[in-house]
Amino acid sequence: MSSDVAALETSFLTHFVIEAMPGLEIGKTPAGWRRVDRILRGHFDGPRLTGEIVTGTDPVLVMRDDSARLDVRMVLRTHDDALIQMTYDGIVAGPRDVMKRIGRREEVDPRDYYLRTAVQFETGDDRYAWLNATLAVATGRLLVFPNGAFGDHYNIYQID
Amino acid sequence: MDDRQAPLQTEYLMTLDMEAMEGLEIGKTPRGYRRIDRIAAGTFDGPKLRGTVVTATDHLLVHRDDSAHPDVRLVLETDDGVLIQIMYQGIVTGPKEVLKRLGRREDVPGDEYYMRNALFFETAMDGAYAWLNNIIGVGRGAVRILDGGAFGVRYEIFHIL
Repeated sequence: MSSDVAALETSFLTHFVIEAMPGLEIGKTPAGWRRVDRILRGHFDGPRLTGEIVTGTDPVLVMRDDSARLDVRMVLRTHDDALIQMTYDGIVAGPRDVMKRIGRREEVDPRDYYLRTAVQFETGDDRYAWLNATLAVATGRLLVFPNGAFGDHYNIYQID
Repeated sequence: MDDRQAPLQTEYLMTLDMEAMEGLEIGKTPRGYRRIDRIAAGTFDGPKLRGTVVTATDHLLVHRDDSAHPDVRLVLETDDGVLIQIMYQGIVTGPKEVLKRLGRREDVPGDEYYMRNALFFETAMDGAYAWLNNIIGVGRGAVRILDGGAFGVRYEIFHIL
């Protein structure tokens, strides 16, 4: 059966650059190590989706295998002034030493870890209603900005 | 440096077939129309894992635009005896008339609507399938009427590489 499954069709949706504020270290909880990241600023640019991030919060959970789970709520404002809520769950995983380096916010080659998210949107703006009906995934890369701030790049793809 | 618009790499993971029991109609709630679907039986089959569905529940929410939003927890047992929890959320959307037919559990070809989900896995860290803990899957779904008339859902699931 597996050989006749058609490939998954996807198309590029937009590219995000995100700069985070210093994390709020909740610390070691029964669920894992909890750190709440807030977005300082960010923007996105794609064929049908361009604009800026208004606000965003990510209560990151670092688990026992040193992998992290992302749980993000974000509000976007498009270049033509539509407000869109974007939510995503994600995984950051890799070998332990790589995850430790990421934890120390060192710059790490993105091929050495897996940063992927599953994205959904919610908007009341008719011009972007198609986003309500779109499941998307993102491939990400962690960034250290010249000023020392931490952040991410994401390529977001819609699942066609 | 700039990897913008590099195509997304995916790999076929498995096909998940589920047979639904009659839904528990919670009804019209402030959030939307809530229906709880349970799975009577199911199988999964792929190059690296295969077995049966032990249990599954979908707390489905139908929004005002008739789009449906599955919110599923399921437990798989592989043919070599390993238990795997899957959590997925998804979207089912399309023309209103098609969504009405799906709501009545009619047989509608998958290309007439958009049924997609994003899956997360949980299994023992020291087990044979630990690699599933740290991947995201995406499924392309379609309904099907099974022999005997039961309503089924099939997802072809891909590993986001």
